[in-house]
Amino acid sequence: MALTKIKADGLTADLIDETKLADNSIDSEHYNDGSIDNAHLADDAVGVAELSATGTASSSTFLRGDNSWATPTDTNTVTTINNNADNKIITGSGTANTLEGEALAQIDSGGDLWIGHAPTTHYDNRKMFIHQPTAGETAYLSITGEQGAGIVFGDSVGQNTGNYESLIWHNNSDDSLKVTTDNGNKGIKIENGGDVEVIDGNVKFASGHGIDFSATSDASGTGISMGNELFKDYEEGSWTPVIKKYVSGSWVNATMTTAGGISDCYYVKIGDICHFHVAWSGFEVSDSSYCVLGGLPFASEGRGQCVVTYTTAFNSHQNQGGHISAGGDQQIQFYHTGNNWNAWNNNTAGLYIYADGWYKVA
Amino acid sequence: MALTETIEYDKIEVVGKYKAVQIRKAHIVKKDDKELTRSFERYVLNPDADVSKEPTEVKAVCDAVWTDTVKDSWKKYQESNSPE
Repeated sequence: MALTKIKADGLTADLIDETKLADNSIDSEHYNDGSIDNAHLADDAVGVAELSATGTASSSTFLRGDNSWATPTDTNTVTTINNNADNKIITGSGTANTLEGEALAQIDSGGDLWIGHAPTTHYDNRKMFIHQPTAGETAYLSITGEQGAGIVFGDSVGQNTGNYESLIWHNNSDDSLKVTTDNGNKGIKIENGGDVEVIDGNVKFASGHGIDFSATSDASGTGISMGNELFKDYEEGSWTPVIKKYVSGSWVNATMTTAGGISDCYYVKIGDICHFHVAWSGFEVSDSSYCVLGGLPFASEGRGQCVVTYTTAFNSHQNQGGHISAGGDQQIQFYHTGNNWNAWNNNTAGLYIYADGWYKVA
Repeated sequence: MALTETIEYDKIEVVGKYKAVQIRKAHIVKKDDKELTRSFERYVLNPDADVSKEPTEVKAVCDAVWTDTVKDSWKKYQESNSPE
């Protein structure tokens, strides 16, 4: 008899058990999709006990795809880091599954790299530190390459000229070292033999400094005394000669009727010696007294001389020499025949003087 | 591309016992602010010089170093070397 109706009091306990159900009488074709889902199963309704897997279910087993309870086998290995600590760079150790935290290679929280020293208080703008921890030894940064090696400096990390505005470069082909700016175009080259070449630019010294020649041998002999071997100045330029007159204890400018033309009055100062040239023509002076030409470019310290090569400006002895005093003067005094003053040709038009001289400057 | 020429008193030096003021007057030619040439003209001022027409920075140095003592010393030196 088919089961067509279930009374209101339902089914008695165990009314339907395995004896009432034929094999395969309730299989997937006898219930709709979703008719047996979580909502139709009470908690723990299908527990481990209801599973027919082989083996023993426990806290250390899991249900494997072959319907067996299996104990997992750990095929991974644990890696140990020795001396691990904050900031340390991790390196290999030479031992399997073991790494090393390097005390002398670290990156601090600011991203600064430390080699040879643990991070410590430092200027914020320093990003990389290389220190020799062994006393008595020097720290070197070794950069090598088949063609050469170098360091570039710039304000950009991009692939543009901004990242090599200045550079230091060793060239293996001739073993030279360049220190340059302007993308390598200007700077110096130190050759293998020790010579220094300025690629483009000048050598500048602070005032009072220059080239020291003290390694060279000095003048010797009775009465000779070497005073200085520092070449510290060179300068060239122009100066303006003026005719002086002596008035009430001072040398002042004489009155020029015609200034004339100063075409080529230049000086060249080499070390402490000033060389000068005078080329003055077409002038006329009205009230000079003694024959004095002033306006030299530097105050004198040692004496000097002036040789007149071509002039009509003197009263007499046109081709004579002049004298520069040592006491801070900037003027040439012209004497003749011993200690006799010469004089300018007052009130004569079209005078000229060409002369050259030198003196020691203060 | 403008050419400009300026004058700069780029060295004002005090030298010697009598505080002579050595002046280097630089004539500078620039093209678009890039210096093309710099040439020098030199002159020296002694403690009895008239500095009223000198530039301010030169006058300032002269005023600072030419004390009455220095001026007196220079005057005596001049007189001691009088040609007369």
